[in-house]
Amino acid sequence: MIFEIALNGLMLGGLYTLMGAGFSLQWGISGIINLAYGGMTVLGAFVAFSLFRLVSVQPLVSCIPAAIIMFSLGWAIYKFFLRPTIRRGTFFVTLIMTFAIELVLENFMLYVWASDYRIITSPYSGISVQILHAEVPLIKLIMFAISIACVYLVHLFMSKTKPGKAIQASALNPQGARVVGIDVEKMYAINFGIGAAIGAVAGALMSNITSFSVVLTGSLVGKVFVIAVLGGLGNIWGAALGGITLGLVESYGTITIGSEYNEAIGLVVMVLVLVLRPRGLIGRKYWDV
Amino acid sequence: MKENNAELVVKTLSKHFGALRAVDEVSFEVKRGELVGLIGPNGAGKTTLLNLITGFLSKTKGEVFFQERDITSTTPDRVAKIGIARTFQITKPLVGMTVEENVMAGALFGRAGRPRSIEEARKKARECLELTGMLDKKDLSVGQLTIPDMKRLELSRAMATDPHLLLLDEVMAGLRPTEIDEALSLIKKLNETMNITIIFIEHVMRAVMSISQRIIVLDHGKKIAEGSPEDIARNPLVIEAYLGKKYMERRKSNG
Amino acid sequence: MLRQLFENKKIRIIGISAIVLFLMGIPWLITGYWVRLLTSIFMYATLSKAIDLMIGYLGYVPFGNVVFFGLGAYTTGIAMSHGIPFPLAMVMGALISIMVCIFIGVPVLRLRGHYFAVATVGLNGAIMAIALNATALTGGAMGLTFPVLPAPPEIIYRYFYYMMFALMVAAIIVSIIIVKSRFGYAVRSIKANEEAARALGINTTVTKTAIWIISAIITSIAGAIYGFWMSYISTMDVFNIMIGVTCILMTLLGGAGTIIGPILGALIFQFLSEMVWSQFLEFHLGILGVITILVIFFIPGGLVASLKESFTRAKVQHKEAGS
Repeated sequence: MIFEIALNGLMLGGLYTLMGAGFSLQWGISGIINLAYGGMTVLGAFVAFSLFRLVSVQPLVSCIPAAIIMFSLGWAIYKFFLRPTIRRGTFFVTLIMTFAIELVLENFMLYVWASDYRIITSPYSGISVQILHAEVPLIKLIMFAISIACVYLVHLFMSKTKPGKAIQASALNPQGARVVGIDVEKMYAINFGIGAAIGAVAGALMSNITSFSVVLTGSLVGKVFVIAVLGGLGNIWGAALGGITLGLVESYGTITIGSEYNEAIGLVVMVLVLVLRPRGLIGRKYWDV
Repeated sequence: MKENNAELVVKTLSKHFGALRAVDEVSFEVKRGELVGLIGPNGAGKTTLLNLITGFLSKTKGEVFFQERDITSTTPDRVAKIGIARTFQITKPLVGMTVEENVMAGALFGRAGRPRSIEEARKKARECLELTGMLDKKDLSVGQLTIPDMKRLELSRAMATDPHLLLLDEVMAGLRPTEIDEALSLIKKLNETMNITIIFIEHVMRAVMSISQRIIVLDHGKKIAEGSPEDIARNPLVIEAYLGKKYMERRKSNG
Repeated sequence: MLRQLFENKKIRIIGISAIVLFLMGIPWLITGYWVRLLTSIFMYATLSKAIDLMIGYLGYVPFGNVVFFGLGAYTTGIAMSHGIPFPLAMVMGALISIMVCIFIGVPVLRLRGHYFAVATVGLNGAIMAIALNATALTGGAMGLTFPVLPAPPEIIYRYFYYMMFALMVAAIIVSIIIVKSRFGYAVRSIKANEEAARALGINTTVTKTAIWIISAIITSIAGAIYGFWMSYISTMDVFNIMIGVTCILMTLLGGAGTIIGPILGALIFQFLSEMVWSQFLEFHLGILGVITILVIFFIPGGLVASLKESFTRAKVQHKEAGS
């Protein structure tokens, strides 16, 4: 029983890791708390859904076009809306700006797809795999594997490639990065786009295991915020810690208190961490933002 | 009793940041009414020491007594309420408020006593601004001030809190020689006529040497010397750590 | 010219009295629809004033301040369904809000910037989930019904009109008193520089909690009146983050940290909302988003600041033309 809960939590945690990584990158590196992240994630899910329905693209393959579309959108949003806002106002104006973008995205999705819940029923959705004593749906395993693979790819990109290193340098020391000829603003925009693309992939994967709707955007932002707070910012491994913790807490909570409290449990854990461990689970100060 | 006229007693105070010992077992006493200079090379731990005394940082080890009461773990606002005022090396003006309002904020709070009314605070603020020569700039917003004026504002605001002990962190940095002379006579005046105990961190050596009754020298977080300006100027440890050979040579050639 | 008019104290007093008298008399001359619209404007103006105490004066953004609106509405509703009269029920709601402020506010207010903003959203989400699932007490997803006043609709409309109006006036007076008081100096000092404020002897924790409590009390009373007025509430309705965000937007539009800014913002916003985009319900959210973006880009300091600036400019031009 405990094993099954843990296994389920881990699977869920994989998805949360990916979802949290995008948000955490946008926050930690581009310096933006993106309240439109939920909208971007659900938009990714809708893109995958429509590709599946209209042109029968394999649901797992549709991650790729969803990621490309959301990268471009994220990049453009940063360049044309967020950057000018950062330049003229305090952090809170930027926060409101992301919320305004969320409203526009939500309205767009409501108009195109309405507020009904959708789900992608993939060809392998009936199959289960036996792991020790627990039955796990194959789709969840695949999703977990893809999530972890994506997270690892992002890690490789950030630590091994030239643009990845430039992005990191821009976050750590913008002045220094400028001196060595890095276009810091461009890096922030690219990073923001990558964050949005990660969110879209996570959304597309999510659409394979649970039903989704525009209504979900708020609670998704809540989740990624919890993950970011638990794990620390701009750090993929922090997102993994936060994501898996949240996955385990939720899957345990679902069994013991009931799934209707899922969201509240996450938020309570977050508030507790903020208050009791202001340095985060792995030690980063929150109050000098 | 020796401790009776001790305003501030610091006992084996330490602050470690990881492996760095920013302040390392520092002990000293300051008597009521004294004017003490605190010097040391960059990174010697002077500002950290000030932050420890005023409660902005929590100590790793040691104790601080003010007027015989233990203030080691007291919060900054409590410290201010019992009569210790400070200025900040990097000035922290209250942005969005006028010069006068800045000083009024000091007058309205600060050392506990009967809370002043707004009008009393305004009067007190004007007195303090008069002292520092800032009265004609009282209606400016702090964004319009020059760096030296910011320093004067910090000093006016600290004085408005009616302190027993005033801790000044490089109030003379960036001032011109004539302005330094004015600042020096002001500090002396505060100390002598208003009977405020003062500890001041300063890099302008002429200033420290000319008005300090006593000087404490820090280096790498440790107290390496303490004594009269003459003793300090002659102390080989200090010369090595801080003043360097050039200063001694200049002193000799001047004298 | 206009500015001189504003600066003359006598004229200002006459002007304000005229506006107050006008607003006191108007519900007897207009239809129920307009009375309700004005009541909702007063409500949003009150909520915006309450949130501006935090944003404009203290410099903290309680994104989830609506939690006190919900707490006020729910506590009042539950108390009234147990036969407790409205005024007492309303006070109970305010007390619950104060308790939440003290127990949760103290630790949460240590956080700065984004963390505070989003921690309040977390707080709202958590309390909303509790309200939604404590079915025995709150009616859960079914919502909560208030006792209906035994009177004809016009009278009920006016009753709530005057209540909201009084609350708004109270909120305005509170903000004026705060700005001019010693407490106000403490609040503004914290906004300006929290460390400097502490060095001056201001107990920042107590001050921040106190101003949040004032904001929470006003918000929770507004929630209590709203619940009684609507006579039915649900969690989706009174814990809706959008209410708080709309108020932040109204504050931004009018001008944060000004006496009249949030009121002006609420007035313009609610009128626009009712007149213009109630016609386009499908695009309600999107239009809200676009307006927000436009406000941030084109009137970043808020209307009050923009108006002041254009007055000053007009004055300078006037002088130049004269010389």
